[in-house]
Amino acid sequence: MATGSVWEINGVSIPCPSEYAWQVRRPLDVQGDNRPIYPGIRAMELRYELMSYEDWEVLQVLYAAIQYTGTATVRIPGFPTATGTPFAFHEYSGVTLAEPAISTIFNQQYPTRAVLLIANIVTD
Amino acid sequence: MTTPTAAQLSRLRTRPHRTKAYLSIFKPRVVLSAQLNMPTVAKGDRALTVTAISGTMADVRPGMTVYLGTTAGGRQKGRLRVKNGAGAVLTVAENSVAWVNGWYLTVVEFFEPWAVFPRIVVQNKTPVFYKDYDLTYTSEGRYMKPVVHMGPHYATFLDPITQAAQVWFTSTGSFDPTDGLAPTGTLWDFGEGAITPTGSANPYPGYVTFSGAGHYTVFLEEWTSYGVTGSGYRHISIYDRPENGPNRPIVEWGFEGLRGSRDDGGYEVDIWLREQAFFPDVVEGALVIIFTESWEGGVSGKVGGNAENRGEILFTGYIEDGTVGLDPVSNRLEFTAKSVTGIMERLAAFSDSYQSRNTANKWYKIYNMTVDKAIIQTLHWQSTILSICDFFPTNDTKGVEYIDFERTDLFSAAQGILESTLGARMVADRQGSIYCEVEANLVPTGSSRDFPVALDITRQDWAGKVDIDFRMREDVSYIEMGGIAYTGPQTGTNSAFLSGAPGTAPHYAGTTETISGLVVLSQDQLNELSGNGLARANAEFPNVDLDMAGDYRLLDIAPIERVTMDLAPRENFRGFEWVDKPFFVKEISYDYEAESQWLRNSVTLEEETSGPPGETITIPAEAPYQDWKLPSWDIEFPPLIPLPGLLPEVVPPTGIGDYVYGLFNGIYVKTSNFWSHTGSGPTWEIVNVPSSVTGTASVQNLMFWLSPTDPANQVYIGNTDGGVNFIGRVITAFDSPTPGAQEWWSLADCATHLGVSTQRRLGTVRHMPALGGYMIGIGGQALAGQPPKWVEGATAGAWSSYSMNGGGYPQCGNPRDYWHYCGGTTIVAATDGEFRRSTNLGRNWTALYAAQPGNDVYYCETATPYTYLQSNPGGGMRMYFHPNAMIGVTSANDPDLLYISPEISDSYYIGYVATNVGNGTIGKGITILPDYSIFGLFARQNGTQAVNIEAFRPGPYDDWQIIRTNPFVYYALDYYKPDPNKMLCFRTTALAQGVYGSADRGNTWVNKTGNLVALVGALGSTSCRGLKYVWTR
Repeated sequence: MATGSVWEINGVSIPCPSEYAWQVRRPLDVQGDNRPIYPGIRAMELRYELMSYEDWEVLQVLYAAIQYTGTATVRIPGFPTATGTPFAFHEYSGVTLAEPAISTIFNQQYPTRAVLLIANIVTD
Repeated sequence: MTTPTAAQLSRLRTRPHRTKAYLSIFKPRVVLSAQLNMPTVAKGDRALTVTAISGTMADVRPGMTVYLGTTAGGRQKGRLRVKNGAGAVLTVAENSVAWVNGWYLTVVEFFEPWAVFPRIVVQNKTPVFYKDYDLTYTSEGRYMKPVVHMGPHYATFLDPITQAAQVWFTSTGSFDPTDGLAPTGTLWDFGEGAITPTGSANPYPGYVTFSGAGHYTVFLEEWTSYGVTGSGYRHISIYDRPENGPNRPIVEWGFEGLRGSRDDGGYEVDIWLREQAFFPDVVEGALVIIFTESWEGGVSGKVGGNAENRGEILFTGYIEDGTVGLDPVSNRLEFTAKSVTGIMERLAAFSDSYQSRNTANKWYKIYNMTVDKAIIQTLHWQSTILSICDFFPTNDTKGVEYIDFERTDLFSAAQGILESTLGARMVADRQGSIYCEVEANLVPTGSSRDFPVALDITRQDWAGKVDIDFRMREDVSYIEMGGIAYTGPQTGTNSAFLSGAPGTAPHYAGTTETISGLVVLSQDQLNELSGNGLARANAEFPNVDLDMAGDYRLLDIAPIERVTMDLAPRENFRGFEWVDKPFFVKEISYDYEAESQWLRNSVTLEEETSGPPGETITIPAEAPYQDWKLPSWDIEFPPLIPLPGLLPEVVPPTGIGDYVYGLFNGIYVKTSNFWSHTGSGPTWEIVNVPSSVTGTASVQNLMFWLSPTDPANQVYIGNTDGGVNFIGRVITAFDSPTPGAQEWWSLADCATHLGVSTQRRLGTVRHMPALGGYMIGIGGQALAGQPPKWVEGATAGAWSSYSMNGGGYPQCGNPRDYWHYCGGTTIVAATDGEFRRSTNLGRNWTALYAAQPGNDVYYCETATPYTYLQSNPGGGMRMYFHPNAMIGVTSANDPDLLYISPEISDSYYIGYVATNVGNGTIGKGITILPDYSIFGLFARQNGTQAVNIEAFRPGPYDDWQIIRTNPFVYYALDYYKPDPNKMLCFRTTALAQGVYGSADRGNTWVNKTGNLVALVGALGSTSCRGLKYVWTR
């Protein structure tokens, strides 16, 4: 695994996304004392406005490898914790990937508005 | 049940809860693949000759599953349970399979729930019971198999670093139902593979290391202090983590509606999977385990599971037959899995009946039976359930005399007994262990109801709203309960009780309920039960539904778990305020969202209740109505075992009046008020003295027989004098101070005419008009090789004799003078160890059976009225029936025949009692009454102490029932033919010597000695030589 601000999935570098976001967790229910119950996992969405076909291929292959079984280890910016460093990259294991989604292909070779969802991220 | 510590509770309430669930389907090892090689194989064959393709017959163990197929490894033709394998023969359970030669048989190392059938065959009109087709009874009802505990089945991952998995094993909880104690011996076999250790003799081996993914079977054998063994099997599945190796569990799967309730007796779940590679593993009956990895606030592990190291097991069950199907739209294979109790609902159960007996000598008898013992006995011998899961009994110790299991499914049969006798339920927990428990709200309050609190539920523990089912008015206005308290077979007392709650006046709302057949301890206990039963039926909050705020799997439906709950008025519509209000867990269901790793359970709680005791209802001695009619019934009664033909009517002789005659100290006496006397006893009078009968005072008369047709005149007599007056009769005027004509044979006469040369006794005398005279059996202190003789004819000079054909019975060392005329030309007689029958008045004899049952005699009973040493029950007696309806009792140890019962007119019935020298039994008398009940007097000698037993059999097919034991020794037992309830005998024991009579079939005896001592002198142990009676029409 690389160090520093390098985006990786299973040791394979992936392009730095145009933007990324920790997904808002949907409350599963509300406790009797009126506290929302959240799932124990988080998800991060990586968005790419424009990427090369080769980069998309990397994402697709990474997804295909763990499509049905297995999990991945990703290196992404860490979720903030009380002791963490802002924007420091962090390794999360046991995550799963949703199939990369793309929109139109620009100029017959550049996928646009690609989205990769990394799920099952345990941050607690 | 699981009671969390404060730290565990704190962790449980830490969020978030996160759970990853995996599906394991046990994939057993094939131990033998073979092909049926029986050209003549027939439908239902059990012993199958096979040709092995792979594997070895030596690895085949009883209880394994064998699949039947038309292709190698196929299962198209179903599956059966293996009984055993030896050589080239694979023996399977009883079946109706239409076998086809060439089928493939695949035996796998898998032990699943099976029903085991009993078999009852009628041999020579007697039912013979077997279990599992051919298991004959030895002592299984006396010394029961241990209930083996091993912990639940298990599935887990290999540790990625150590490549090993540790599984906890313990036999804690194993017990011997015979006495409740733990087994005394243990032997574990942890299976095939890289396992450390491979086995252990430690009852609590703790963690065992499995180094490698695979499916394993662990075997445990335990034995009791009585030398009885029991065994159990558990299946262990070890997987690579999905990211770490090829032997991973199923991951493309899901479940819906994992739900369990105490009313249903366990859990069930609908499962689907989409990985085609695992489709072949989905086999009806296969073991399914849902196991998890769980975190509470980031800390892994779960509390719960009712067993060490099983906290991550969410569900254990079996694929229900007929539920496997492929959804063509989603391409999902779907099936339903159920707890072991749910599978028991699909297993056929034959009816099973048990009796509580001191001497459990049949499959249907249990020593000191309790409900637990009956349930365990049925599950042990009519299923494989107890070998595949931990079983926890109710621990109720109340005795019960009879239990009958219904002919239904196995679960309903057992549950029906538990509910109807104790108000108990059989429920499986999530792990598949079975708990039998009296419903909590029926348990007496106080220290008896000591269920610990599993969880104090506060508002942080539930989510959403609380659904409260509130009962505004009573549903049951009155409840009546009836039960029987049984003191056990030693005393055999049954007491019936009735109780009603709330009391004389019922509630003003609701219906009435009547429950009967309960097993109770006392009236007070039943009153308490009815009070609690009514309170439970009218619980104010019968159902409280909660969605828990996470994975609260420490709660389970079994064993019974008490929870308390806090509720503020603002948290519910009705404004209830609860502070630590107790409830019991009634139902639980689980929902799982894999995408959120979110597992949570919902529970239904039942309010804890108790009520004031009900009131006693006095059971009237007789039905309080004059004319009652039974409803019309449409019941097929089981075929009755036919009894022999009715006994002929007793035809008394005419003439002389009602008398009881006796021979005491050589003096003949009689009384006419034996039964009707008032005051201190009957009035005896001397008939005559010995010298008047025999002509010499030195003669000691030993036995006498009144002529059945002319008792006042003709009497046959035997004595100990081997000289001139050995055997003879009074021909006229016996009942006179000066008897008339007599004729006697000396020992020399006997030697001349009968070929006997030693002292003989007079045997049975029988008037035989066809012969123009009498037939007399003589025997006595015979020497070996001297067969009995029979004489016939009107006078001594005309007597002729016959020997038992062949003679030379070297074992004939005891009297053979006990014989019985059966009518026509048939005579039966007891010899030394044999019953013999002559069909030509004694000319020729055929052995009916010897000490052991012969071909023409069938074994009917093992009737042991007592055991002389607890450790050696072998000194009992056996009862045989002959096709000609002969009844006999002989000893298992010593077949000497000492006594034949008094004849019953011209019936074929004969009873006899055997003796065991030393620590054995001596029969002192046995009589068969006209209704076929049998009364016996026995003496038990155990060296220095003599104990005497009076026993009774209600019928020839029933057990001996001990009336009492006492220090008295009896002889000369007979019953009074005009009234079989009346019996008479002579008691020889010092301080109680004398004549006794009973007017109630031996239940109470009254001294009938009266003035006898004044007439004949002191009564010693050998004073009485006979008691006879005559009566008129």
